[in-house]
Amino acid sequence: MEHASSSPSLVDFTFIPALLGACGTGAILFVGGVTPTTLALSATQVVLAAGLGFWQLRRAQARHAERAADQAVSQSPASGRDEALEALCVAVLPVWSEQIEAARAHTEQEIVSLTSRFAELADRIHSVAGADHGGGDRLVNLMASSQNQLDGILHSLREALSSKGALLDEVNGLAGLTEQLKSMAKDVGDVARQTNLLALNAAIEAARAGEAGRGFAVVADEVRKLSTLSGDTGQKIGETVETVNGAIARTLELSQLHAERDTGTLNQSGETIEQVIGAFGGTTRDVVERSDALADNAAAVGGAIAEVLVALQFQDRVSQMLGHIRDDQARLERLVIDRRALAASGQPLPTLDTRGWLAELARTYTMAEQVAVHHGKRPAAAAAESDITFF
Amino acid sequence: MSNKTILIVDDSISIRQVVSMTLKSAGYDVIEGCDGRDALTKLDGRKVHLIISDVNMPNMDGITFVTAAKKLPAYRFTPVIMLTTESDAAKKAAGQAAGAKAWMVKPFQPAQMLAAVSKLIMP
Repeated sequence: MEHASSSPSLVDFTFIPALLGACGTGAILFVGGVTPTTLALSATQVVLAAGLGFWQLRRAQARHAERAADQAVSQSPASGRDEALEALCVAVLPVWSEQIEAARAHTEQEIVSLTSRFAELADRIHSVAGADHGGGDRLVNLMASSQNQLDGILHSLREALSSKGALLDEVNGLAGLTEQLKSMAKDVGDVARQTNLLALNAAIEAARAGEAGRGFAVVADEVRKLSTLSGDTGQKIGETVETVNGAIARTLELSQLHAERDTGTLNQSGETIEQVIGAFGGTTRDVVERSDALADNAAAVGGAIAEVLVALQFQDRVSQMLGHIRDDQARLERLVIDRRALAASGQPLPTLDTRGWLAELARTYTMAEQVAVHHGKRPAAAAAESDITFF
Repeated sequence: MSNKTILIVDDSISIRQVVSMTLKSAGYDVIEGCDGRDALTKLDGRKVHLIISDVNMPNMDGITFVTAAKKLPAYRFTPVIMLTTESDAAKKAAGQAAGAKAWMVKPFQPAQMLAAVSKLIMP
């Protein structure tokens, strides 16, 4: 609304006090007559009336100036200004900016904290997975090595048992030789008996020859003694061979008994070792499977954490977008304050360049999605891969 | 791959953390700067095999930092990857003119980051 008003004049504001002053002077002179006292009073009255009029004039001029300034600051259809809205903007824009900054700072703080925790988790998982890496293989190798060593021991024991069998075969062969010895001892006895008979016949023939056969009789007697001695020796040989043969037989019997027992023990040991290795192998396979599953899970969790960390990069983008809004609000606040000051000082307000303002805002954007939103488009979905350009 | 040092420059702590974790998981040593000015003080003549820098940062932006770093004899041939939300062609051209070897737009994928680092890092 525009108020047409003229500046207050000297006549407007001095006429009534001057008139009242003149009436008062007339009344004093009429009542008191023309005396020096009444003349002095009348003069004083006129001066006071004139002063009052002048004071009123200055006051009215001041009021007029204030009203004119108010009219310039208040609603003006020509400039489209609204003082109340400006006041609201000046009051609320800094609050909005503070709130946006607080939200931005809070988000940043929390995201930094989250990122740190996820990074720590990723480190731990990486170190655990790295420490366990190859543990399953080492266990499997240890088991295979243990089995080989135990199989080696069994093989050595079987070889030892086999050698023992060969030895027993040799001893058994000796038993065959003793039979031959027995036969030979019997032959010696037979030869001795034949020799004894021959010596006896020779003695008879020597006796028949008389004195001429006396010497031959002595020889025949000696031969008979020797044959008797040979027969005794052959018998002793037979008895000794029989004794050796018995000893060999007992040795063979005991050895075979031990060999059977050793074979049983060896077989039992082999079975036990196989059972132990089998059980150990089963447990090892379980452990390895669990270890592999843990490693797979750790890798999956590590991958998921990496994805979370990548996703948390949104904070940087959000922070920049909020920062731009905050800065533009501050720019708007400064504009409102500047225009108020111009209006208050009675200077003409420059035309608002809305397009220029938006263009200036657009120049501050750093992201394609900000530009898209600025032009009323939906921001494109985040790409699966980073946009990278090599120069 | 070990004993290679990479300088990360970004004003976002969370981005520095993610980049740092990605690089450390691949065996790289990492030093960090929170803006261009801070990064220049962190360089301080030490051996750096690659630089990964943001563009928009307070105090000193990434393009200015890379330009300044490339003027230092020790970092004249140090490869630089710009890691930023910016995808504007003019900005990319400015990065290339400053001496960057690659321009990567956030958010980045760790595998791609490691592939780019492996491709560009000094022997």
